[in-house]
Amino acid sequence: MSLIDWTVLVGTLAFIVIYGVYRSRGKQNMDDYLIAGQSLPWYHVCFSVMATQASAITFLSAPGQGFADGMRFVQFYFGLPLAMVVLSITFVPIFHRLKVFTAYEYLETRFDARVRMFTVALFLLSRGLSTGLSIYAPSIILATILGWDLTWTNILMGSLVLIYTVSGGTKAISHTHLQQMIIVTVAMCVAGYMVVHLLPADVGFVDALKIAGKAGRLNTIDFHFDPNSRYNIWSGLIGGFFLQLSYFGTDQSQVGRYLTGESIGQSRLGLMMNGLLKIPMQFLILLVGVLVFVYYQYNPSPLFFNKVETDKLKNSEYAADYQSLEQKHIASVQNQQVAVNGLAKAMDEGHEEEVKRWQASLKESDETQKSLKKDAVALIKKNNPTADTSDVNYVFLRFVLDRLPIGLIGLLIAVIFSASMGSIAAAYNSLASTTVVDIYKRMVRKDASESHYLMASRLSTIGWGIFCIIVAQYASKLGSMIEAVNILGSLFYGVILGIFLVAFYFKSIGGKATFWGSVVAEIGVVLCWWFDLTAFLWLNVIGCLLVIGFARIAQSFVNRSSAA
Amino acid sequence: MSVPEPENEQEGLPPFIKTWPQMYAIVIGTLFVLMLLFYAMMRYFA
Repeated sequence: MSLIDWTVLVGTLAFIVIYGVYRSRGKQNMDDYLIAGQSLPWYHVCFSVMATQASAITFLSAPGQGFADGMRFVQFYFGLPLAMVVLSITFVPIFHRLKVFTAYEYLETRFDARVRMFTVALFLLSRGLSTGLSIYAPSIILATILGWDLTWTNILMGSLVLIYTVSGGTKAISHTHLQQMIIVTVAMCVAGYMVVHLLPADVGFVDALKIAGKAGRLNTIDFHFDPNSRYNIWSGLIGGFFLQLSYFGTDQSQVGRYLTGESIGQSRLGLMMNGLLKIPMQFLILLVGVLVFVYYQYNPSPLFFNKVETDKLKNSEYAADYQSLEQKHIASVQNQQVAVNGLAKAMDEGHEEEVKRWQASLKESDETQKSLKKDAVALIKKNNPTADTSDVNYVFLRFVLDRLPIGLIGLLIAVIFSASMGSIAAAYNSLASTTVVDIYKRMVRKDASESHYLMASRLSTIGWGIFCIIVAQYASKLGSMIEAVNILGSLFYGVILGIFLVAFYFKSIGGKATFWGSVVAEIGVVLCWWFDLTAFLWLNVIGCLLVIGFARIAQSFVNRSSAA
Repeated sequence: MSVPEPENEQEGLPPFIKTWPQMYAIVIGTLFVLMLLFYAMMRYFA
């Protein structure tokens, strides 16, 4: 990176941290620290929940997904607006009126301490580990591509947010979320404009969409119902609805964001705006990836975007094999360039038969390149079994570094840091508030002073920050554990949601039945995953429905034994 | 479990919307309009 890029990167990050510390000045109590004194307007709630959900991987991986697989990933978010409506009707008023700090406090009010502690344990386990991976995932990509030291990148990524999260708590996080979302949105719009600008002079935005459409990359809607297919309209609407409802309704990192609203109305409006804005935002991020795909139809693309791994391969015993693959790739790229020019000309002239012929040729090149990439991945794995072969994560960053002008590179790296900081800060804060409110205040020190709990919250934030950075350091040694921890979230989210839905909608079911119902449901979900019965998105639906079903059955046994 | 009485139900609504159910209908309606637009775009450029 050039000096200008470094200046932009350091300046942007320093601005976020200084702004966060500045907003946190003044006296604070526990109420201010954990839920910003419930004083924030709707736009803070909206941008805060958006920034918490959008991690660095959103901006690294989603454009790569658009490049490799087209727009169909957008269907994953179709359940989100529906979930926002259910949250606004049920969850928000109850949490606000009971004046809780965490979602899990409510479970003891409704059931008993056992159910509360069960969900707290599930949350701390899954969120603690996944936050470590949220630090590691962008760090490994930045360290690989920019040649940075991984340990220091992890430490930088995980500790920058600690500065304002520890001093300012939730208020500082919400204010910095607003800045981060502005920076991210502006930078992604500029990146999208630059991709179109870099296309050949006679290819405009609409022409690029035509090429993408003919290459099958505008595959936004898939009506085909297949429980094993990850992205179709049904898995998005139904599975996505349950996933988003459990994430926004029961994960403290999100509940803590909308509890900051100054009233029920402000929290509701923030969530409604999230429901309106999230899908268009995700659509635009994927579209940037699709435009990058069109760019590489006219320009030579690398066989594999993770250059560090290919450089290692070129210096190994597999160098000749890789060179042979590269030569085939170059030949395929040449065919593809002929096909894309032919296709553009045929579309301009309106020759239907020619369009079909060139379209088939373009798809054939695409298939050839995908097949060559698979062969390259196999070679990379042979050479280095621990290599990161998920190339979609590297497509956009490689494009940014190779093709975008000086200054914009620094800004887009800052976007990755900003997005990461947004989700990590909310996670630290939620882990600390759950530890202090649900464990320390509930079980260890019940009657301490406000200043004591404030200090405990700050120390807990630091403690979780250190824990997550340590998880990030060891993540590279976990290998397939990364995938296991991702699945861990899907295994627990549906069950936690089921517990909350029983609490809200099944008033006749008590704590004992809910506890045993959720234990049996959790076993059921684990069995579904173990025997690979369905795609992971559906595990959220299954877990939720099993809790409701088993809790009802257990309650009938409880009623019978009470009557006897 | 006792939940305190609700506050002013209209609080927080944008000026042109009178009730929360109307707001929810707008959000769900926008979702279906977006799906329709995405489908139309996919068919148009396919």
